[in-house]
Amino acid sequence: MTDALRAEVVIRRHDGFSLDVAFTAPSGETVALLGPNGAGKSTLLGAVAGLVTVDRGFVSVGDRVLTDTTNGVLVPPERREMGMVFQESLLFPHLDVLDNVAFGLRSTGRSTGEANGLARRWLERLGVGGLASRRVDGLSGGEIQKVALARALATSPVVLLLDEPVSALDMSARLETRRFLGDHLGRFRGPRIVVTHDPTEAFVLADRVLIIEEGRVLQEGPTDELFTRPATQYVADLLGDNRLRGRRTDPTTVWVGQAELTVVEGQTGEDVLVTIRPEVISFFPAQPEGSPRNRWQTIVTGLERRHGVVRVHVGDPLPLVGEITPSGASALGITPGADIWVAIKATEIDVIPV
Amino acid sequence: MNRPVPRLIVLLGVVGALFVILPIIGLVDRVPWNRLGSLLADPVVLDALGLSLISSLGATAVVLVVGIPLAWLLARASFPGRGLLRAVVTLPMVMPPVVGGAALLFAFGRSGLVGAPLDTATGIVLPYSLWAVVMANSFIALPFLVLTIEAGFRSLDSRYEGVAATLGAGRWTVIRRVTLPLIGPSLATGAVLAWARALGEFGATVTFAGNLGGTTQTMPLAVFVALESDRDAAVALSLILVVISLAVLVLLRDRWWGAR
Repeated sequence: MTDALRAEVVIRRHDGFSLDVAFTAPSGETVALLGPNGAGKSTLLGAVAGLVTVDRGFVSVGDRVLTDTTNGVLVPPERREMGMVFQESLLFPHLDVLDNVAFGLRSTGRSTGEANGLARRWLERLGVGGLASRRVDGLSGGEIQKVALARALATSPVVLLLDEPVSALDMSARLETRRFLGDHLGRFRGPRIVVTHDPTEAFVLADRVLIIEEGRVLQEGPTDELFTRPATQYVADLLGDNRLRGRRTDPTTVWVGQAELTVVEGQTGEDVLVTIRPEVISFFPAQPEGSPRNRWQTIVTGLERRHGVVRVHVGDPLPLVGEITPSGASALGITPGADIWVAIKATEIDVIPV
Repeated sequence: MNRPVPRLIVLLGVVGALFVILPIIGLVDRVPWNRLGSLLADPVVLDALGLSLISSLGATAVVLVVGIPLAWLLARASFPGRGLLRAVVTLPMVMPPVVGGAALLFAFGRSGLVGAPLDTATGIVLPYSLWAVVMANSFIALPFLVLTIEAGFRSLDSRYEGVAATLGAGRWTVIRRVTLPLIGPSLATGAVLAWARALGEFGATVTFAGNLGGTTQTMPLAVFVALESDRDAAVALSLILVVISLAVLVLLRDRWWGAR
């Protein structure tokens, strides 16, 4: 068992940008650093890996101190045992796939034969053994990221750092690669850090999320808690509304916590990400008649007016936020604490496997 | 839309092309093909050819050894006076080679800045020796190599080296297995350009190393001398240099410029 990663990083750049973030990533958990581009997430990751110089900071894995500016400790990146995967293909273009994966093993003193054998096994373990002798420039985006992960894992790192691992991929490859990463991150026993600007990615991959903006942590917490209880409007906007983790128990049924949703048919037994856009939620004063398959009674937990619409927050069994027009809201007589019926069509619920 | 090219442009362009082509034709036209074998077998020619190859390859080796680190510093390190250093390193490329030779003489000549103490301490006298030829060639060829390789370093994504480091590769392993292979094309182009420039070097060589047959008389010097005495030999020597230059162009075009 490996140990938790602790990081405190302060960086001040000449252009006025400053980064001041502290976090802990427990062993066996995936922590997402989520924030818009330019928030300093990648710089933070580079500082953890020892690739970026910090003005003040402390980085440790378990008892091993890697950076400690007060005591003048700075372990170089090659001795930090951190596996890294970048957004773009940073596979070495002058080496084939096998040599890329064997690179770290050979650099740390193993013979070519031994390194190649281990590299081949890693490729096979990740299901891309067939690519071993391929040139890097002929691979698809998804294949590249799988090989990059194999390369990072092959050196048996104690921490795994992923910088926007699927952002450069097209939609279909992104879904597949994200699921692939989810599987293999789960098998990695040390702390895993994923940098991303995509809330979906953080939601799907991470156990904990740190929201970073302009070099500061805005909020952090367990993923589910963070997505259901954003601390500020800014965070709520960044995360998007009504993202829920669920499980499909039969082809058209998804359970989210204690709520049962009828959805469009899919593969039973899958973990899924459920997204319900606020405008597809209908509100009724009494049990609605007609077609919507999903309807239940709940209470209004909050109201806010933004951009000409009224946002209605409702509580258990499924905390959601919906949007209706101001005239609709007054016609319904919605007030905080009031009983209300919610209805959502099955076809309006977006379900993707994770 | 394909508008006809203005005639004036065509005319001047053709004049420009002919200006390069005619002298080459003139040279080839004068080649004494039936005597070519015996001319090239002449000891003076063979000496000059051998000397040229040794000195130009030696100079290429020298500029590679010092030029790669210099290019690395110019591209990667940040220190005061870096711009000035680049300008100074570029200087041999733009200044008259004769002046370069004279400068070498003032620095490394028997009574020069470095040459005098060197002579006193070791008895080594550099000018008018094969070493002087290699030095003159290196002096002139260095900027061609440094500027080419510096551009290579600059266009290299340094994150490749970062990844290599996270994979456990130490600094020298990274340089050997990642940096140098990735700038391979720039290295090769820079080396070939430097070698070609060294091979054709005249002014700095004749000033600093003199024109001693068998010791410092390289091909270009031999051509110059032969023009006075044996025109046919001069033509034959020139032909060799032209063929080598063409080969360099073809080499560069096919391997590195082909895609453009």
